[in-house]
Amino acid sequence: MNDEKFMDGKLKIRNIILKLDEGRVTPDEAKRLFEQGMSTIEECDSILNCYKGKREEIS
Amino acid sequence: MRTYYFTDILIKNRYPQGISSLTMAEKINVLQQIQEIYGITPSEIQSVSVLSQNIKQILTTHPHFTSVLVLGEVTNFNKASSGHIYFDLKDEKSEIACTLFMSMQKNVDFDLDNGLQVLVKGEIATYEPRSRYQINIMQILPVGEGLSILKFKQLKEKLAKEGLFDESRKKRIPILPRKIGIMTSKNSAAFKDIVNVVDSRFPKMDIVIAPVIVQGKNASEDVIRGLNLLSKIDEVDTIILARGGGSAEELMVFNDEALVRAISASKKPLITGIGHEKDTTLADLVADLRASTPSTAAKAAVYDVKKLKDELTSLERHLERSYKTYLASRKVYKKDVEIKEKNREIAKYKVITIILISLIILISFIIIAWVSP
Repeated sequence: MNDEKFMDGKLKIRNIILKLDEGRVTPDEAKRLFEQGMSTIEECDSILNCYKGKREEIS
Repeated sequence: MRTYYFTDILIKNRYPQGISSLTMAEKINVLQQIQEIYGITPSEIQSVSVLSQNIKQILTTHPHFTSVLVLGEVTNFNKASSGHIYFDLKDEKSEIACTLFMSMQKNVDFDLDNGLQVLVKGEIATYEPRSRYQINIMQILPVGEGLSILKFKQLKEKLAKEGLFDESRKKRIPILPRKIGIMTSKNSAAFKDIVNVVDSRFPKMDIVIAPVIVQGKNASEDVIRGLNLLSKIDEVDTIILARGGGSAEELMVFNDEALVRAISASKKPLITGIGHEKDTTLADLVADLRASTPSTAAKAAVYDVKKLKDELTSLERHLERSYKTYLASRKVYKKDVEIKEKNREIAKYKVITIILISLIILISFIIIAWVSP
């Protein structure tokens, strides 16, 4: 479900930011977290862009 | 049995103890006096009891009174400790007493109360000792607006008792539904309002429309059909049930028990936008979210995509800033470590140099001492 993916993604990014701000990670770990965060942002963005504006009618 | 005559008053002064205690001879005497004074024949005179009996006889045998159907409004409602119900049935000009005995109450499937319009079927009966007449009810049916209000009230209470309106049963409305299902009349203003709001907030939101009849006899069934159709589409994550304003009668479809139960059983979150702010139907109460109008229902179903994108952009910037700050703090730390290491090296070389110089001096002294005589 888009909703869960999007909400989970945002939460994940916030947690990554928190870890980086605390600074208690190794440079390698920080790099990995940053890359993971950027990829999650892309995923969230792609969720927003997956809509097509379709109008269906059922009866 | 004590017998009272309406001549009581006339003879009260002469027989203060009442004529019922008179002997037959004294009674005959009284009647003779009445005949002498007023010229009334004793045979024309009847007792209260006889009159009451005669009235009862007529009322309980005359076809006009043995089976009556009367329409009126309940007033002076009273349920006695015996379980019998007493009330008056009134219209603009008159009232008549009614009794609903406990044995007749088993077929009454609604709560009787003051103000309710009812149709009663019964027989006229009299209570002989007081010579009063009333309707002994055999059947009672609610009618008119009173019936609608009563039905609504009773159904609402029944469904509330079952927990259908409990907050704990309400499902969360997703922020990003994959598709939105809309149930309303296709060419209605309500539908146009919803589409306008969706277009302005999330232009590319995918919509599935289930056109339904939202007024009239078969509307409830049609809405249930629409709900079932939308429920079968996996990607529909939120459903809107909407219709524009209308009279209470027109909105009655949304108080239908079958429809309310269907909404309650729906696995997909449902938002209602029915009528105007003041209208609250049972469908509103059972829905996961009640919006006051179709437009507000659309707003609740669809987030502003621009805001969501802005939120993501903001998170991206924050992430980059946090990482840069982390790296910067790492660089400062690295420099500190390097300086400290250099200082340590310098100190080490200083010590070695001092030791070497000391050794050279010492060796020089030894050589001088050894060479000199």
